[in-house]
Amino acid sequence: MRRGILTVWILSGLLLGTASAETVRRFPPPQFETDYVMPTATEPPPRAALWDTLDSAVLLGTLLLAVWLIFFKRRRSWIVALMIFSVLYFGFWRKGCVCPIGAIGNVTVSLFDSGYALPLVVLVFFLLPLGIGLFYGRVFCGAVCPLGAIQDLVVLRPQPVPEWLETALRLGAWLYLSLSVLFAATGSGLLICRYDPFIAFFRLSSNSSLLILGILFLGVGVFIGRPYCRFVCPYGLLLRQAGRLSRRHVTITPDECIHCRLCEEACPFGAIHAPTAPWPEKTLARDRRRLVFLFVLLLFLIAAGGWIGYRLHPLLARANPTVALADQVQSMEAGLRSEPTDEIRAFRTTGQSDEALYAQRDEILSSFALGGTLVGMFMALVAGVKLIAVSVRRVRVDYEADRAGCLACGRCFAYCPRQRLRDNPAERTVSNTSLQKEAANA
Amino acid sequence: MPDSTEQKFLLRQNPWYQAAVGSAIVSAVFVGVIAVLLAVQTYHLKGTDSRRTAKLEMLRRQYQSAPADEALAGEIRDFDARLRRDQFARLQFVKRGVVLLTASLAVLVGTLYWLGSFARRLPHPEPPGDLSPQQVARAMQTRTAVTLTLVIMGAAGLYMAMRTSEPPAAAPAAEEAAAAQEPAAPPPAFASWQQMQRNWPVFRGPEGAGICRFEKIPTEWDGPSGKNIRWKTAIPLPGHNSPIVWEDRIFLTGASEDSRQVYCFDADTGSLLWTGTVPISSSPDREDMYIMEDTGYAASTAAVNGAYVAAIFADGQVGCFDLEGRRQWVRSLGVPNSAYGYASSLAAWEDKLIIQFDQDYEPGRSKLMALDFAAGTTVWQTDRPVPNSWTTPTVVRLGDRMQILTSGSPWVIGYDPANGSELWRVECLGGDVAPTQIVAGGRVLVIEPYTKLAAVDPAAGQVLWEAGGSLPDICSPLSDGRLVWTLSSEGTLSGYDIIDGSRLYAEELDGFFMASPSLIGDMLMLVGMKGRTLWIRAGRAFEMISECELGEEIFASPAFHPGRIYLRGTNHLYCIESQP
Repeated sequence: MRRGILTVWILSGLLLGTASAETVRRFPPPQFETDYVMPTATEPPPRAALWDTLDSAVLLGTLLLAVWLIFFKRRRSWIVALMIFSVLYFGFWRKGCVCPIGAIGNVTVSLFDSGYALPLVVLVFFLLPLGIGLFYGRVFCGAVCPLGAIQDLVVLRPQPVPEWLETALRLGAWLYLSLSVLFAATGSGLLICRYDPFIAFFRLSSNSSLLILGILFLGVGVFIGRPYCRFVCPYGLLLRQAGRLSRRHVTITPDECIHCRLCEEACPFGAIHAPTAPWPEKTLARDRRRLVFLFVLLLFLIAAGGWIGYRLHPLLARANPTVALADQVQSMEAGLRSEPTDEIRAFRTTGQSDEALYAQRDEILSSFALGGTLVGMFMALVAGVKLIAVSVRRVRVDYEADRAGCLACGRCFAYCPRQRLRDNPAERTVSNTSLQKEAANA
Repeated sequence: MPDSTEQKFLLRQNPWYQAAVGSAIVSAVFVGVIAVLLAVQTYHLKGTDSRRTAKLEMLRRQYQSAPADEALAGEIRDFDARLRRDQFARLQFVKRGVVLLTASLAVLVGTLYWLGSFARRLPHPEPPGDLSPQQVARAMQTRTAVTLTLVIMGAAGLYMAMRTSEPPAAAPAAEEAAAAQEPAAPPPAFASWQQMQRNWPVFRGPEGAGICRFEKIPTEWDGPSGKNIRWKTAIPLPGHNSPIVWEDRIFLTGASEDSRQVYCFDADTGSLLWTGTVPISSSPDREDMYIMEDTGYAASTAAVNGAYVAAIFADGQVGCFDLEGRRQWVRSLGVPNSAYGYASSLAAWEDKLIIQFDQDYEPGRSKLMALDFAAGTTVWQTDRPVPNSWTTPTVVRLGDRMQILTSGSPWVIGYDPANGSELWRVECLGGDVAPTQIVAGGRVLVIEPYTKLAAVDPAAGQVLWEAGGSLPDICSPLSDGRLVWTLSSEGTLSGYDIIDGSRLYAEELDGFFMASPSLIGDMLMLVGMKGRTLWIRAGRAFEMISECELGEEIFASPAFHPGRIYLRGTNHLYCIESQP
């Protein structure tokens, strides 16, 4: 009976929400009658500097708070509270923009386009998490990033991803980062912002493809912890490198590891490494030869990657709107297209000559030739270095959080008995008393 | 301490647990309903929008040609306003949907956390065992995975790099444009009727009769082993059209949803000599164009007149090339409204390209037209009193004059190729007519799908006889002047006497047939859909002679040239020739 009442109560709440959403109609459809008068075009006011300052201050504040909660307070519940705040503020309130992930594109454009003035707030958002990361690792991912937080909140049934799969899938994120930089540098668009999978939720409005993408990421995220952060996020890759170099990094235990192994399955992101066993001596020589071979192979890989990237540049360049327009105009002139597209019509109204357009295209193509080559070389370098990295014999004596992979979510803290003793000194007293009793009995 | 079963029982009795389960189910159902509604509505409205936009575009075009038409202007305004209202409503719907979805997802996640709090599991580490082998195995797995990923990425990059080995798409266009602008060579004279007879210039050869008069045609081959296969070449894009042959060149076409191409192959080596591109239609009607998968975008066979080769595609785009592959012109006839997709092949007569452009469910917009082969201009055009059909016009000698023969429900009509005037017509057809008429023994033989075979006397303008049986819906008839054969798609081969239409036999063959039958000497060549060719004696009784296997599906009718058969499989073009 009580179950029925509670369920009906919750259902009523949902229906009430539906009804109230139905009544909100802020923008009635305009009347397009014959006597309709077109309103004067207006420009939105420039974003108030106050908001920029406030956003930067909130970012700095939340980052410092995250450092305190993760490194000193070490309480998951407080970290979750900060996550919820970040989702609400940076996500729903600020509508997911500006964010450090998308700022990669803006920063790249500012480096290659002298006519683009990078807003200070964007630079702050790009640098601040990285700067904090150099001291404290990925605290931004842990509690401040709205994209990470919204995924973290839906991790309900996490399943382990094998190390080999995780490592292989991460190469896709490197490719995404490389292409995003290439496209931004050549003025072809900001890929990361365009394909932000959670923007549909944060703005409560978007095209259906992005909405479906967001739902997919969240759906997968119920079982695979933070899939976007681990296998897609380009900024996460930068923070991984910052994490490797950081002065301090998250530790599972507040003081010493007692090898109780209780934390082994605590991390849904596979970022806890167990102590290593002794490596077999008999394969040492073979492993060394493999490393030498991989170093030599790396040079060939880079050359091959550069060649493939160069050959792909015409394909990549088609994403550039100027190249696409020039191709359309040329095919129109060649008679391959019988009707002009809207883009061609718009181009014709500019009065620009076809030759000038073709010259622009050739210039962009040469940029893509260089960029494609570099992207190919870079991807080969990443894959080659990864191959070398997984061939190196690593030695660990304690259970450790992976410096690069740890997302600083704080889940593992509660699993550590040393942490529990620190949080509840009473448990230490009870434990000591029990031990004394046992000793006396013995 | 209670055991596991008892714990579960106690848990189920807990009202808060029951409430958490109920809430989770309700929230999940709510999320599902909202998500499905959003998806369905978005998909539905997207389709509606594109069709309406096409309609708006059509209205605008009409208005451009009649700017004084106030009623039309008003209709455009009303329609435009309705489109905008729909668009705002759609946006509003999506926005409300996303709000509800986000809110309900939050509720769902909350209830699932609540539910999870009732069954927290304590960490339970397994005994560690010997970690060393696991560690070595893990390292090896990771190395293998990274290597495989590297190989896959490299192979994908290499594949795309090879496919984009040419400069960007516009560059070939520039070459083509330059080639088109080159001073054209002196226009060669069109081929004579005798030259046409020495080639295979149109669908089913000269006069479209499916009769091969060439010598040394091979009757044995085996595709899998390569026996008597002179060459085999991949065809870039699909199409059910048949090859045509002019001297040492073979032409056929291929198309996909966004590409239309004409191919020229070397008859001796099978190498692809050139690929011509015909732009896709930019008509707004293309959005509504329905093409049956079995028909495809390139069902119509091309035509060559000795100087030029022309092709037509399902969207009404016609392109003409000289024999060296230089594009001469492109005409957009408009997207034909054809129930199964446009499939009529082209015909060639001297300097004219003959197009049978039948469309719509009712007569009114169908026409027969002759274009200048060299320039693409319309020489003449005649309205046809028929709905959509899938037959091919044939240029034949009937009595002492040339005629263009056509068939479509209900008329068989003869036209004058010089000016398109109608010479005669006979009413004897019905349904969706696809088999093409032939001429034999001074009679025109036509098929009403599934129903009847009819012999028409064009001079008297009357039907001489009609015969029933298992008649085809696609394959055209075949005759040697004394007997007539029909082949149904399901494989029934029927023989008739041409004098009175009496049926001599009906033999059920194994397999399906899309290619029309051919006559070589005293043998019928029947090419099955699965790639098996049957050789049947062309006599008053059924007599199987032999069969050959190609090893690839075949929809197209064969083409012939002295000593050779050209067969188009679904993916390859084959040249069959008896090896010495």
